[in-house]
Amino acid sequence: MATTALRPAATYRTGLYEWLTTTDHKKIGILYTFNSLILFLIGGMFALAVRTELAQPGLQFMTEATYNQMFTMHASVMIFWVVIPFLAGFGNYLVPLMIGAPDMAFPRINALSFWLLPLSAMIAMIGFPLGGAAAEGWTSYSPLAQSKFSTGPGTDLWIVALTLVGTSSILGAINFLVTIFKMRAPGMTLFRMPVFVWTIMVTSVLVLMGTPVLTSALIMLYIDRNFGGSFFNTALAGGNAILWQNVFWFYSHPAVYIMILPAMGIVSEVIPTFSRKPLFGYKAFVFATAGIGALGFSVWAHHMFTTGSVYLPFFSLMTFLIAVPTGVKMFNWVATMFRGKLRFTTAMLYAVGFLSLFLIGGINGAFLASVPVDYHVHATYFIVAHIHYVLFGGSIMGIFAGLYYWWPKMFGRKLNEGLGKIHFVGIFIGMNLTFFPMHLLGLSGMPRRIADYSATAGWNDLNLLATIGGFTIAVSMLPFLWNAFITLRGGEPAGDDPWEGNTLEWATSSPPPPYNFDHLPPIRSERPVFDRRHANDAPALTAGH
Amino acid sequence: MGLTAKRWARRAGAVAALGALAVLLSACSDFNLRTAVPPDAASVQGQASRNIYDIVFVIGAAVFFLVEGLILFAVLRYRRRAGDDELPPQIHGNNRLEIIWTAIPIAIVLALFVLSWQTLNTVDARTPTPPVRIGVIAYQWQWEFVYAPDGVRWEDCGVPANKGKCVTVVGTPPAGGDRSKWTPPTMHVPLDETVELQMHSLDVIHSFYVPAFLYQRDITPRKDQVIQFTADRIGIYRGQCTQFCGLYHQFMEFQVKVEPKADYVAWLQQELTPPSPPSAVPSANGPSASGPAGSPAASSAP
Repeated sequence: MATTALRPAATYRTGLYEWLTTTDHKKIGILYTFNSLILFLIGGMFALAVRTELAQPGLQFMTEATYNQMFTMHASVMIFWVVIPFLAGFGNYLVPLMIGAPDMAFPRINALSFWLLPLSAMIAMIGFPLGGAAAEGWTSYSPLAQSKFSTGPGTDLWIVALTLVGTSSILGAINFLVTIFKMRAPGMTLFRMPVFVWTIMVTSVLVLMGTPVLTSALIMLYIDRNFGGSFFNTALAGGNAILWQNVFWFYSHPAVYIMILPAMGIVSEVIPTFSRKPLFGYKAFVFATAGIGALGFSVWAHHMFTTGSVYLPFFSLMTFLIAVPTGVKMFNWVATMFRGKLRFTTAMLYAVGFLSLFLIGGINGAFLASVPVDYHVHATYFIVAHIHYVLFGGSIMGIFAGLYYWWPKMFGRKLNEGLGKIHFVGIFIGMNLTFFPMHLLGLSGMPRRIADYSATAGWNDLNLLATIGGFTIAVSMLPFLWNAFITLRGGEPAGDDPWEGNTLEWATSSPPPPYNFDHLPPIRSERPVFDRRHANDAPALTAGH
Repeated sequence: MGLTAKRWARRAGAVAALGALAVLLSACSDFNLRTAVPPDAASVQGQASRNIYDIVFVIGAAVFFLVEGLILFAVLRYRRRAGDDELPPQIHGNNRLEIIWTAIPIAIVLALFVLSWQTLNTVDARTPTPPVRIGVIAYQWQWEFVYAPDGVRWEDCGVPANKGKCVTVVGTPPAGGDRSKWTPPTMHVPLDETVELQMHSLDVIHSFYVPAFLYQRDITPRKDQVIQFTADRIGIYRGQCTQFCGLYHQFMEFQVKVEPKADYVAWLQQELTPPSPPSAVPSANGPSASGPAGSPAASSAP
């Protein structure tokens, strides 16, 4: 296989010092990936602890105090140290490659963005040996999060850690935006960028607008707890508990789009490649992404329908409307597959898994947009089901699609397809076993975040089923870990372009050399590598727009 | 079309297998799919919510089967055969289709929004003169229900002038988190009469949730909430705090007993003339002491 590497790929594997000090966006992207994978396993352990305790009525394995830490840290880890950084890691690795740039605009800031993550994760976790980690839920509602009700260092450590994560996100967003606007290769117009780059761009705008609000709120909460502030502390005059919910969700609802848009971007690269077709409705897709980003800032109060403190019809309408651009994307993905030649690699299986599961997460979201229905299922297990069909069925499925798809580019070796398919089947079945019963539990009135439930409430069997599903997911991760291990030690060599990809990262070697390209193919569409491969294929060229 | 028929047969087989699995699951389950998803409404407002839920469910199910069916169809129909190296037609998009699948979802969600809004107006409707008013006090980790006579605010039940006029229902708090030594309080309400709850939190945010009423409302400190409902089915319904409120959140359960007016009045009278063990004053400033252990404790204010 022809290679465009400036140096042999072997020099890429260097010592620990190189990894600790690197400013290469590819190495930083790989660091993001492994850091997120490790924290995915840790956050998964917390989830298993929760599911184990809930398998049967009665407290068998832990006290309420431990349980509350488990579900709080599960959500915090998965959101702030797994899904968001995992996708940011893909962005780090891929954005410069996809737009034909040698690196990110600010390589050292890029390194700082990454190193804040393991540091902050350790700060949040150190609460466990110091008398208990945060235990108010990842939403940390005041007044429960005030020092009167949440004593101990866990909550303060959690605040400090999240402030650092926020800083990391903000720095990363600036870096992405400057890179995308200033460093595109000649010919790479905005409307020739891969859709994944578009989703990272919109996500970065969301981060830049939303994260400072969360970070400010966290600092205010810290002042409340430690210096007698009265921002959210209702025990003092002027303290307003609803204010916390407003500022928290002003970030944390857009955060859902921060966690799903890049996963949509991944799926939008994987499905066209394995359908051997261009993405159906590229521009519609870009506008839908921007539309979700814009609408995403007008729906935060749908988390507050039951507070009696928000104007319900407005937020209900906006929440219903945000289903529309999401639906447009869904139809475009399906249309991309129509009349294609589908190849079911593991990456493609995960992409199709994303479609079929994220669809459920979108539909049960429409239930929550209807205020009277939300009055019934708010803060029940229905919400838990919804968020996991979005973040597991959506984001995590997208992340795995991306891992199988770009692993050969990152390491020059393909992941084993057989083990990959076992991994997919296990995750898909386990995911549905775990989270589908939660719809029914929620509809019948089981509140979330309870350590125990009455044996006569009718919830025993479905909880047991969900726990079995949780362990199915955990066991299904083993083939993946084994796969990653054996592949890194010597898997099937991938070559530059193992999947017949469309975008620029497939025009360089696997793994790419430092600074990525010695020469670029001409960029005349959103599929420069496809165009080069089919230069003599008249129908393909004339069909281009 | 033999191939298509075979595919349909396979698909029908899959659906049948799924159905069989569902039947099997429901047969050996303590979960009652028919009456619990969501529960049969026991209030006028809950029935309205149930109706809009049913509409959303039907539309949601239709969209689910349509799109999931399209995905499955594409996956089964357009697989690449071994050795087939020909490029499929390179279709970049179709503006008419984009407009169609933008406009139809807009119409659907706008319709759902309008219907939901109308239902919301029913659910949140208020009468200025509800026949029954009950004070609801929430605190870590217990509920108190205060019945004050006409002309007395529940907040004033602790005032000496109102001695013996109010009824306060409390449960047994969870001592050390032991479920066996704990009973939830029971709120009595008359059938077919509008009940107003005036809800107040003493510490953190709690949420008043009765699944059978398909309704919950957060109770935030410094933001008292007033809600109304009309229970229209006799029975005892479980309720629970849904807003995570700290260590023993799981124990903040209660019950709502809907009974005929006469029974309700009799219960109230009986509670007003007790063999009174003096109980602490219910007040907005602090939780009262627990009632006696055992059955849902009810005691009159001193």
